[in-house]
Amino acid sequence: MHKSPHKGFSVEFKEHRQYVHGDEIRTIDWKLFAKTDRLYIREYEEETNLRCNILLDKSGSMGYCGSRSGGVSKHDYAVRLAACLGHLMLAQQDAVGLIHFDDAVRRIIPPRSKPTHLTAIVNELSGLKAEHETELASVFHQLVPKIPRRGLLVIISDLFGNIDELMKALAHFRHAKHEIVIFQIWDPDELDFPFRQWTQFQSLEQKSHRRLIDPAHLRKAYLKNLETFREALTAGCHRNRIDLVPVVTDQPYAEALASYLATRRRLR
Amino acid sequence: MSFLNIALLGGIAAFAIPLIIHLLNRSKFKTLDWGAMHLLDSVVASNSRRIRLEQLLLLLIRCAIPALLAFCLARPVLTQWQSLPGDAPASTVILLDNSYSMDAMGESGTRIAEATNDTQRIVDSIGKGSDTSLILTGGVPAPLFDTPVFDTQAITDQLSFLDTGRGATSLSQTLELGASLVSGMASSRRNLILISDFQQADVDALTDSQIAKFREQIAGQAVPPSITLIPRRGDRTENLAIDDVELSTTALGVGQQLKVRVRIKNYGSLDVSEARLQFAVDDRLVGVTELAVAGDATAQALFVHKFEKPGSHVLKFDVDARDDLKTDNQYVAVVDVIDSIEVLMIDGAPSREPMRGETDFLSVALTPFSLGRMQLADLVETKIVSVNEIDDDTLRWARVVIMANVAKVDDGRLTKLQEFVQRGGGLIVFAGNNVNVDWYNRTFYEQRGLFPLPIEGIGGGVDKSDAGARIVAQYFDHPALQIFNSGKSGSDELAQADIAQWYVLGKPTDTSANRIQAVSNKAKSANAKDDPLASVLIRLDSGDPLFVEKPVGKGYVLACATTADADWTNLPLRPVYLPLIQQLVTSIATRGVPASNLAAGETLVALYESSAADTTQVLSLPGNKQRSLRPVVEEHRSVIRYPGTTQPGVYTLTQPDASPRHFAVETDRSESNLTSIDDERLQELADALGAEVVADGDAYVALDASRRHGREVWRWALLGLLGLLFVELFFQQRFSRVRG
Repeated sequence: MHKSPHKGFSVEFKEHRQYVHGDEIRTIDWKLFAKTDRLYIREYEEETNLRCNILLDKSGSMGYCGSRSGGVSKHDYAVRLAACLGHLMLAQQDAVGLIHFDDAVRRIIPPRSKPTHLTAIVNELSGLKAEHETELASVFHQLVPKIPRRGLLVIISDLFGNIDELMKALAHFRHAKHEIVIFQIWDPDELDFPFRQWTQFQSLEQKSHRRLIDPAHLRKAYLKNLETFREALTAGCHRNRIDLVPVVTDQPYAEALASYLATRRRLR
Repeated sequence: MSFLNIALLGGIAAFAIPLIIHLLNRSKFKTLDWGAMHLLDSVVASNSRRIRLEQLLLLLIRCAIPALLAFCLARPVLTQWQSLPGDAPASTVILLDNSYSMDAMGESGTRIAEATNDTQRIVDSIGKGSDTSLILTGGVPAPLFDTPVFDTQAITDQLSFLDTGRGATSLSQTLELGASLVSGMASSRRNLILISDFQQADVDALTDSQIAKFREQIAGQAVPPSITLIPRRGDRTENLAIDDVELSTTALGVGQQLKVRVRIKNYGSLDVSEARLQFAVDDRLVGVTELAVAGDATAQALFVHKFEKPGSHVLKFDVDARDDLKTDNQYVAVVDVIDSIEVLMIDGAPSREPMRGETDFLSVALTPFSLGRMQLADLVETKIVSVNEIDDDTLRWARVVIMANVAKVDDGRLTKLQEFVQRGGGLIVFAGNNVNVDWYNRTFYEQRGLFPLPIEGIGGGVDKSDAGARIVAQYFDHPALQIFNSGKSGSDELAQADIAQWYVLGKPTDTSANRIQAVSNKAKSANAKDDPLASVLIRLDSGDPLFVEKPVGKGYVLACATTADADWTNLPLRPVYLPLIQQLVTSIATRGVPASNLAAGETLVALYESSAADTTQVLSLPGNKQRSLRPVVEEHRSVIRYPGTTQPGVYTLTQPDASPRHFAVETDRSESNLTSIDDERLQELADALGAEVVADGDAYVALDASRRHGREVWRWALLGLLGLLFVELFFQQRFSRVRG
C-alpha cells in the first residue's frame, strides 16, 4: 500500500547530517569526525507504520439509493468501503483512524495499528446514519489542526458542494503534507438522470427544499451541469496531486478498490 | 368564410383535451428523495424560463391539433377568394328537360339534341374530383344516377341513350329536387343548371310562392349554388296533336261494340286542311279518316270497332300532318276484351211458370243468343241457384253474383259472399217483396257494410194508380251507363220505363210526396245517415235512388231499389233493359280490374291467381327494354306493381303459356303547345330565381370560368395539421430526449 517516508531506528544507513545543538551525542559519527574534523550524525531508514485517517462523509446526500444499486445506498457503500480499507491497513500493521462528519466533525477515532482497533472502527461505522447537510470545506479546515501528524487521508464522500471552497480545503490538507485519496461515491441515477414522469425532487439534506419538474425536459441540462462539475473536480484534484477515484454503487466495492490499488501500484 | 359541416365546428372544444391531460400529469407526480440537489438547482434556475416556454409551445401545438382537426372536418370555405380556373373541384346538377316538346325543332336541330350537346359540353369542362348529377325533368323529375358521379364518362355514355318524349316538365318540382340534391353534394363550388325550352305553359304553372320557396331553399344552404338557365327554344310553333282519346269502355265482351272518340287539336295558328288520322288495332289498320283542323281549334273523329278475340288489345292512333313535333301525333290505348263473364244468380222467388221467376228476365237480358237459339255466343254465362246452394265452388266459378228478391242469407254464406266481394267480385242486389227489411238494414247494411244504403221505406205502391216514378233523364257519369248518354238508347229510353214501387234507399228526400213508410222497418231510425262511399247511378224523379253502387274491398256492390222482374216495374219489358243489365254486369265484372290505360308515372298493376307467385313475368318497356318481375302474394291473389312508367308507350307483360297483357302509358298533352316565353320573360324568370341566362353550353363554360370564387381550404388546414403533428413530434423529441 505504501513505503514509509519517515526516518528512525533502523539497520539501514540513510545519510549524514551536520550536528546541531540538541542532537543526541550517541548519534555522532566519530569516524567521519576523525576524517573531516566536523560533527555529523548518522541517520538510518526508520521502517515505521503508515498513519491513515479515513474521513467518511455521512451527510444526507449520501443517503440516496437508486433503483439500480441493489438496495445499497451511497452511505452503505461508503461504510463498507471504509471498513474494507481499515481492514487492509491494519493487516499490514498500519495505523488507521476514522473521522466521520456531515456539516461538522462528529467523531474522531485516532489512528491505531492494533488489530483489535478494527472492531472499534467497525462498531463506529455500523452505528452511522446519513443525515444533516454537507459542509465539506469548513469541516476539512477544522480537521487540519486536528490531524497533527502527516499521513494518508482517505476521503469517502460524494463531494457535493462548492468546488472552489472544497479545493481550498483540500489544498489546506496538502499544505499540511498529507497525502489524499478521494473515493467519490455516485449512484447510477445521479450519472444518467433517467427520470421521465413529473417528479418532485426533495432534498435529502433539507426537507423543505423541493423542486417539481418534468425531468425529461431538464435531463440534457442536468447532464451538462454534471459533466462540468466532474471536470472541475478532476482538474482541481489533479492540480493538488490528489487521487480522485469515482465509484458507482452498482459496481462491487471490492472490485473498485482493487482496480484503484492496482493503478496506484503501477504509478509507483 | 363559411362551413359545409358547421356542426362539426363544435369539435374545436377538443383543444381542452391536451390541456386537461397536461394538468392531470402535473397533478400526478411522484416524489423522490434526492441528494444531488446542487446539480439540479442550478439547472432549474437557468432553464426554468426556457422550459416554461417549451412546455407552453408544446401545449399550444397539442391544443391546436384537435382544434385544427375539427376545423378541417367542418370544411371551411373561403368565399371571397379568387381561385385559378380549373383547380378547384365543383358540384354540378344539370336539370335537363326531356319532355316531348323538346323533340321539336330548335335553331340547329331538335331542341333535345341541342340540350344534350350543351350537357356534353358542360360535362367535358368539369374538372377532376368534381361530382355531377343529371336530372331528367320530363314527367316526374328523377336523377339519372342514384348518387352524383365523379366519372364524367358515365354521363357521356348515358347521354347517347337518353329517354326523350316524356311528359310535361313541372318547373317547381324540378327546381325543388335540384336544390335539395345540390345541397348534399361534395364540393364547395356548386352549380345548378336548367336546360329547357321554357314553354309558356310550364313557366305559367310556376307560381310566385313556389319561386319564393325555391329561393328560401337556396338561401338556406351553407354554400348556395350558382344558378344558370340555358334556353333551347325554337321559333316553330306549328303543331297538330292527338289531344285525347275517349273509349266508351275499357273492358267489353267479344262482339260488343267499342266506340272511340279521337280529339285532335291544332296548337299552331295555321289551318290544316288535310290531317290523315289512322286507327290500328294490334298493328292492323282498321280505320282511316281525314280531318280539317283550323288554327288553334279542335276536331273530332269517331271510330267504331268490334273485337272477335278475347284478350288485351292495343289501339294505336296516328295523325299525319306536316307539323314541327311528331311525338304527340301518336296515341296508344288498351282495351281488355272478355271471353265470358260468369254470373251466379240467386233466385229469391223461383217459379216453374215461364217468366214468373225472379231471375227469368235477367237470364234473357244476359244470355239473349242462347235463349233465342242463335249461332252467336253470349258474353255472359249464367247459373241460377237458390240461396242455400251458395258455396265455395259456385263463388269461385262466378265473377258476378246477382241476388234477386232474396229474403236473407245465413251468416256463414254471407261471410263467403263478403269475402267474394272483397276479393274483387261484383254483387248486384235486386229488391222485391220477399226482402227482409230488418235483416237488410241490421246485418246486410249495418254489420257487414255490404248493402250500400239502408232501406228507409217504400216508395210508390203497386196498388195505387199514378203513384209510380220514372228514371230521371240525365247525363250519366258512370262508365256502365255511358252508352245511354246519346242516340236512340239514350237516357230518354230509360226515362220511359215506369217504376211502380221501390224501396227508399238512404235518407228520405222531403220532396217525395208519394211515399209511405214501411211499417215493418224496425231498424229505421231518424238519424240514419247516407254512406259516404255509396254513389247513386240512376235516380228516380221522386228524388230517390234507383241504382246505388258502393266499393267493398277490391270489388263493388250494386243495389237496385226495385225488382229484377216485372212485379214492381215494367223496365224488364222494355228493350232498354237488355243493354242496361249487360252494361251493369260487364262494368261490375271489370271494375275491380286495375286500369290498363295509365298516365305517365302511375303505377302499373296486374292481378294474378295466387299460384302465379312462383312464376316470372317479363315486362317489355318502350324502347326495347325489358324487366323481369315476380308477382307478390296479397291475400287471395298475387300482384305485380311496377312504378317506373315514366316513358310513354306500350308496356307488355308476358309469361309462358299465357296471352300477353298490354298497358298503355300516355302523357298529358300540355307540352304540345310549343310557344316558349320570350327573352324578356326569361330574364324576369332568371331574376326571380336568382339565376343568370346563357345561350348555350359554351357560353356557360365561359361564364363559369369568370365567376369562380370560393373554395374549400380544408386541404390546407389538413396540411397544417400534419405539419403541426410533425412539429409536435420534433419538439417532443428535442425537449425530452431520453436515452433508451
